[in-house]
Amino acid sequence: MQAQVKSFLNGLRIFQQSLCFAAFLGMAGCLMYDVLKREITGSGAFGAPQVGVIGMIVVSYIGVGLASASGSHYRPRFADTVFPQKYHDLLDRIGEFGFALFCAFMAYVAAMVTLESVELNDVSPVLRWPIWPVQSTIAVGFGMVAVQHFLYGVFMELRPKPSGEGAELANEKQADEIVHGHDDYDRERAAKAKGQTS
Amino acid sequence: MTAVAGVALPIVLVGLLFLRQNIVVLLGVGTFAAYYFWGGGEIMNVVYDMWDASNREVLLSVPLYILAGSIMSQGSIAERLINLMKALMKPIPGGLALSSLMACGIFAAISGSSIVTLLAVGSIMYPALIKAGYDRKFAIGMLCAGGTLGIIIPPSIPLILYGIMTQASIADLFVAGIGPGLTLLGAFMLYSLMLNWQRDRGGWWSLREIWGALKESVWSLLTPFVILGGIYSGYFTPTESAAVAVLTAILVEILAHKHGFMHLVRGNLGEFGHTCNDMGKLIWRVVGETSTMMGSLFPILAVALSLNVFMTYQQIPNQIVEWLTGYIDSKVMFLILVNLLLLVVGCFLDSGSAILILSPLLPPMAQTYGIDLVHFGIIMNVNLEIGYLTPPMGINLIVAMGAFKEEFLTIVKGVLPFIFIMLAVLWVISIYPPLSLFMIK
Repeated sequence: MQAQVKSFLNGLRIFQQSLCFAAFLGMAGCLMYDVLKREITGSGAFGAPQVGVIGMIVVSYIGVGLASASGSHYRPRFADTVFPQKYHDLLDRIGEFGFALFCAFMAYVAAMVTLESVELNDVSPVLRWPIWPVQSTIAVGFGMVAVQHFLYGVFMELRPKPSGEGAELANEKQADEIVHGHDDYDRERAAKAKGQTS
Repeated sequence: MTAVAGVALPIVLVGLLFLRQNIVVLLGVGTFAAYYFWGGGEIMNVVYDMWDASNREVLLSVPLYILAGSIMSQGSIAERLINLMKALMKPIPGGLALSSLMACGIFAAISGSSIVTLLAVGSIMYPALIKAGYDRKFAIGMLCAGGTLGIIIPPSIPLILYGIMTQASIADLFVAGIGPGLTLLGAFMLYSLMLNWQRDRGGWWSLREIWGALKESVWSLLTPFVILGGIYSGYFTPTESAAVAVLTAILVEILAHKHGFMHLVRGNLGEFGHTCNDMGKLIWRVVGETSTMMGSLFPILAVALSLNVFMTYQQIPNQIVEWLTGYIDSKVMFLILVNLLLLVVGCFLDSGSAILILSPLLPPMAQTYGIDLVHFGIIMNVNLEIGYLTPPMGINLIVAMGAFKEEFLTIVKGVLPFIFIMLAVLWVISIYPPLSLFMIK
């Protein structure tokens, strides 16, 4: 069972990262195109910043799941030592269920707001596109995170190691990757070049 | 009912803190409760506010600056800048330390993040400093302190967040960060020079070496000029500048540093394809990291802005200001108390969260004491910058511990002298506004 849940969580993470990657490229691409077009033709691309904002909203709310998968949510830790060590596992488990509950509630309220937008036919002021598909990413993003943390609460071994240092570093291993990443990059490149020569 | 809720809410929030809940939960529960009990039960307004908070063009600059900084640090731009600084500082005693600080300063002008600056420079310079015989405590303390320049020398992500929360001009905040940032850099360099004055020089300047390093880094040097020059001249908005930064970083890495341009000119399309493929892998990795950071920061930002809307509607900041002005009768007393408060907050919260939580309350108070909104933003930022170096939640300390495999206590001892320097500079920045505002029209 745990192996199946693990592969489900892995699949979810890959799905979230792929979605974020596509939205991020869309966002950055729109803004770059806007600036380049303005430089070349003298006028920017119509609606490009607004499309960029849509990309950012998708990245932000789907990215909540990536932050969960790498234990990167910001959490005040100064109260962690108030209870004795023997209660820490229990507190961690309650913490996971608590976060899952909060995210489920958030997803529910966001879904209500999205449905209201559908009923009212709300459109974006510049692009004149319906806003509900983008608004729904808040509900979908928090909904996925609720499932993730519920599963972490049930299968504590699958929880990511909390980073403690915010988002940039998920853990010590990631720190290593960042510090030595460039070397690896060059090594990979050199190995490829060698392979081609031989 | 509302009176009971007023008593119960703080107890619930403390309970959630003990139950290891994230900041977004603490803020979210507080905001939902505020709307439910004191806002006519309209809890859907929280999500409407979050939507309005997210749906802003100015926020686009945050992920793009993070992405640009990550591409530059994990590519070769940072390394080339460091090599140039090393060549320039060679004949000065303790030149390697000075070149590390200079590199932090220049990289800070590209990246808006403290950790990215620390890792970009530290990963290259820390082993070099240890090999050259520098004291471990000094070396790691200096790099941690140098890393904090990332959020004071513009572009700066906490300053963008402050601008969003207070409606202060982000371009003005960026300009105001230059003076304090350079003062801090100068103070760090002076301390480093005094401490290493007896150290052997690394030989005289070699024109050949400087020319070689300059040739290698000319494209890297162009990047901060494009980013900052564009903003300060008014040619780009901060958001456009962030997009240009990403574009510049990608083009410099592919075309100049990986020789993509030469491959194209020679018609070596296979090699050019490999270069693009490598860059694609790098972008996939750094976009993942940036999305993760966005996922942890943006929900907090959105919920904090919702709480901000609620508090403004209920005129809570005005009431607090009126109440406090009855007790604090001078600007200096206010500055002392605010600085102490922010230093304590900085020990427990990261700068972004602290700015989001405190911005609705402190800046209106500062304005009643005649403190400029932009100047106060710089005071807040420098204060919280010190929080990156203070335990238990000093982010740079934890990153350095993981990245450079040093004991936490060694790092804490190493940063202590730099914290004192920063406190002295903070006081100068607080009482001398022209240091921040001299370039603002």
